[in-house]
Amino acid sequence: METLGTNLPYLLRGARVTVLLFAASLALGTVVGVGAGLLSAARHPVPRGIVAVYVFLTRGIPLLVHLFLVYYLLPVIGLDLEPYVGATIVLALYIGAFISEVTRGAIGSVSRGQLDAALSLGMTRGRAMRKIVLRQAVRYFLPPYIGNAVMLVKLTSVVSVINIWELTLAGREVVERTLAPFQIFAGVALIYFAICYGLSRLGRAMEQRTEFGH
Amino acid sequence: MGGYFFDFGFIYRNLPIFWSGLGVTLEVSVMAMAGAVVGGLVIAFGRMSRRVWLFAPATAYVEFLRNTPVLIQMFGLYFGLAVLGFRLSPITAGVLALAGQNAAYLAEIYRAGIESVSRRQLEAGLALGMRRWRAMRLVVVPIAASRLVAPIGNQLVVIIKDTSLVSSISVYELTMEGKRLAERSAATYEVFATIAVFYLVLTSVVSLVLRLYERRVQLIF
Repeated sequence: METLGTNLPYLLRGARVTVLLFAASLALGTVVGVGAGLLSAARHPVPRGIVAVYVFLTRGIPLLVHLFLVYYLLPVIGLDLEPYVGATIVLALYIGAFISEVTRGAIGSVSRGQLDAALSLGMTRGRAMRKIVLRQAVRYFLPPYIGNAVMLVKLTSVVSVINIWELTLAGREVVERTLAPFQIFAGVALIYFAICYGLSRLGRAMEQRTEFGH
Repeated sequence: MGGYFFDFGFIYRNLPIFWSGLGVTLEVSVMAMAGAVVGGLVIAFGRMSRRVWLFAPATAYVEFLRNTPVLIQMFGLYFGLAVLGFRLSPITAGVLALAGQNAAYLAEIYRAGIESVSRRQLEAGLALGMRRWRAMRLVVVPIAASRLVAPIGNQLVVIIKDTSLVSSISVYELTMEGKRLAERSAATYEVFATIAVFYLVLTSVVSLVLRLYERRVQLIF
């Protein structure tokens, strides 16, 4: 336990980077995902098709392969991105596909009759979507959204494989130095657990609150 | 550009390397899936038990495994257990980690499915003179199973994608073979584009088969 104790500050610095990576990619991924989810509720087949292709390409290929692909493709097309920026964009686009499915599912959960009722009251389609459908969709959106956020925290660990320094890579460095893999990886796991479990609990609390609201 | 954007010839010449990687990916996927599907059942029983000594460890297992990255679990099993005297081969450690985490996810899927079946179905079975275990097996479980094809299928696709992570404990599956090939050639992104296509085909085939199967079982119930 002593080895873990002396290396804890270093691991916590890694955890800070993990949380920053997570927050940045969640923010960007939410914008992309909700946007894509709204587009997939459009009547026109072209935006729906584009979103379907995006979701298919993202969800059918492992994150690690996406990371390698971008890692090797960027120099070829002459783009010089900061590694953290590149990783954040890949993570955001990856989680965005999942969030777009959550958004689509939430909109689909609101009964079709709600939209028809609003339209029959003379609302425009845009107004009916905003004021009636989306407002009710939020409560279906939040619980799976939090689930995806937890998944994103865990996914950030994958960027360590392309040598981006965060909690997992910090852990591997400490293991190489101290040769105490069991202790160190247990410590790293507990730090991830604290972050993810906190988020999960928050999600469950929200779920209960939205159930009471209706 | 020199008239070159995608070196198909290079990919074609190295196809045997991709096939060999794909073979290992399939092997790891199938073993991890089998472990997760069966392990998940055991844990689901614990989660639904009224006995604390079964419920508490099953709950702790599910919470811990679902809230930590599978990559760390893999490192723990491979590097961590070795210093404690249990040396696992990379493939064993990888399969155990993938099966372990996905068993936790599947346990929760099973449980949600069984709890979604109306209690009256069980009571109807009992009223027909079935014993509790028989009513569960012949009435409740088949109804739950027909609802669970889609979520279980999603989890199996997750397992296929997560097998790419065993490359980091030096299992020579698809991603690892690709990385090695990319490192000793100039056609780096072509290699990963090809690998992406391999995974896409693999995950699509599994999704498609499960969707067809789902349609069949839904016709029955």
